[in-house]
Amino acid sequence: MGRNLSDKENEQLKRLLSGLQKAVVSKKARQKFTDELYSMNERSPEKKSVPYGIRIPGIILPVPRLALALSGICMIFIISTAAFIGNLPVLENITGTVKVQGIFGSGLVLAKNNQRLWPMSVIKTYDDGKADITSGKKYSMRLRPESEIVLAHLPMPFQGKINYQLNKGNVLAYYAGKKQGHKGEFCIETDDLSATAVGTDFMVKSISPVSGSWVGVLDGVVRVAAARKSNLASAPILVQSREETWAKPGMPPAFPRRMSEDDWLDMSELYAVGIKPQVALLISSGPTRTSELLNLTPLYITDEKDGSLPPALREAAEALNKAAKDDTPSLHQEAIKKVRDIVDKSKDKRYTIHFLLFIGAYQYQLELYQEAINTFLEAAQKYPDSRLASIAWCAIGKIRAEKLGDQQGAWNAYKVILDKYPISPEGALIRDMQKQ
Amino acid sequence: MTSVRDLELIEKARNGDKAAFEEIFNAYSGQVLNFLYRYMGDYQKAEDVMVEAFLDVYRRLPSYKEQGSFLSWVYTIALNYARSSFRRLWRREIPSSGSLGDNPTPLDTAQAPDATRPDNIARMNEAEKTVQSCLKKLNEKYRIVIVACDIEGLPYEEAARVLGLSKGVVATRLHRARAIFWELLKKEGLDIER
Repeated sequence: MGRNLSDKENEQLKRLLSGLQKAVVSKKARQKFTDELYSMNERSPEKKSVPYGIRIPGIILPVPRLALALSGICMIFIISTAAFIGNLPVLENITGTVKVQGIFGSGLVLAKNNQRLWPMSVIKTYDDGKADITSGKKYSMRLRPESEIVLAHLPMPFQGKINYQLNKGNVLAYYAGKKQGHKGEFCIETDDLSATAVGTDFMVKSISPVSGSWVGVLDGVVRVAAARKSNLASAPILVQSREETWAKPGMPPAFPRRMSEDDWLDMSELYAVGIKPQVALLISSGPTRTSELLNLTPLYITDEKDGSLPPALREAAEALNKAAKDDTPSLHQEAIKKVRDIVDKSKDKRYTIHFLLFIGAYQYQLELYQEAINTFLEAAQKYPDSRLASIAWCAIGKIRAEKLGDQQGAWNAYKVILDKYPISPEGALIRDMQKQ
Repeated sequence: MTSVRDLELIEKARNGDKAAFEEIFNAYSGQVLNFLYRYMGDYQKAEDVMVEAFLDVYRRLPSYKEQGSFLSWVYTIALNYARSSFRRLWRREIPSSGSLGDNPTPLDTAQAPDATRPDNIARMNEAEKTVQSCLKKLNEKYRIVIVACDIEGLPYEEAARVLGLSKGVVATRLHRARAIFWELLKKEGLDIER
């Protein structure tokens, strides 16, 4: 949004707008109006109200208004019940032993795929079991082995707080509720802390009654507070992408710190939960993501169901692994070519910008700077509306400044970010650079 | 405020006097067309909507209550027509930014000061084009308040009635709309201070 205007500027703007030329009605329009006005029939008298009823050609069978009202109420009841049931999460991708206890306390029974979960359902995975809990496109979670979670509170569709209580083990969560029109919050609580998503991917572990609980964030931001029952009066902390925090029993959550590489990669399983993409660049959503990309961040390709990967994607993944192992220029070029083929030939354009950014970073690592710039430029120009476009411009700027010594060219790229993507993490980064 | 003369004409038209309504049309159609043109960005479509809206005004005259000005009431009807015409368009095709506002616009140059001087005409046309293209870039909710309050000069209360908003919301939106619009004009290189 623009800045506030001064009184003088307000006046100038009002003067400009009130002094604009006025549109003139054409003769043709006047003629059309007159013709239609005079060809109009005399105004018809106010329509008499027609009794409510069932229309059969020629007659209307009147139906009492009370009956209509009752049927309306029944319809509303049926629709809201259907909406509530449709809002219930379901269990999917069950492997190993997973049990569920329903609300009527009939004991733990073996869970089935597509089983609906009701409020207060307990889901328990054993040492060989894991399961996904999904609710439409709103959220997905993966309950890892030896974990137990309770669906503590399920609100009406589109509003209210969705609350899970993690009794033990660990759970990976992805929440897109805000994008899907959910107006409430999504929260996972343990004995030690509560983690509330702000449109995000994250993981919560309830480690042990002695060690406390841990939260790591893959993407977005998570608000972490001490557990309600601990009665600790500490302010919640915000944990950003690629950060972690933990809370020991009876203590407030610790100040967030950067997550280790192993924990970070461990969380990449999130990309396979629920409706997540099969291909993703493992970069954070913070201002360091361009540097992460240029350090050749892993391209995560998942094949959750056997044979679900397209052949071209499988070949590219194999070529990349081979090039990484043998490290010869020809193998690197071959790997780039395979990925490039996906960009050029694939009908599925969803991940093209991911591939292009990956190719650019790969070329950067091979010190093919001009080619890397061309690839990033292609990504930025083909997908100007992608949330990754600003990374491409930032990468161009970095290569020009740091590798080619072209400060003017770098600034031109940064200026595009300031103009087109001012609120992106790269925009913030460049503004910081300007201040320094 | 609606003048006594106009109220008489309205009364006559309400009783079926089409000549009286034609006079009303002559008195208000220019303002309504200007309102619609600035809002819709397409002169031809604005003119069609204006004619359609006036015919509907004639049909609805018996239900007109003399609260607020007559012109505001006509603006309200015209705005509803404009919005439904947008919806019809979007159902058929999404209008590209280039397809709006490209129809030639007969504008009343005689109203502008020193309109006969060629340099003024050229400068005004340039400013016209810039303002119109910036209006088109504004979000609909901001564009309509600029058109109602700053171009048509409606007081907040009247604008609120036309737009179906509260007076406070109109004031807030206008404040934001002006700030955004100012930036757009500056970006387009229009010398507003001149």
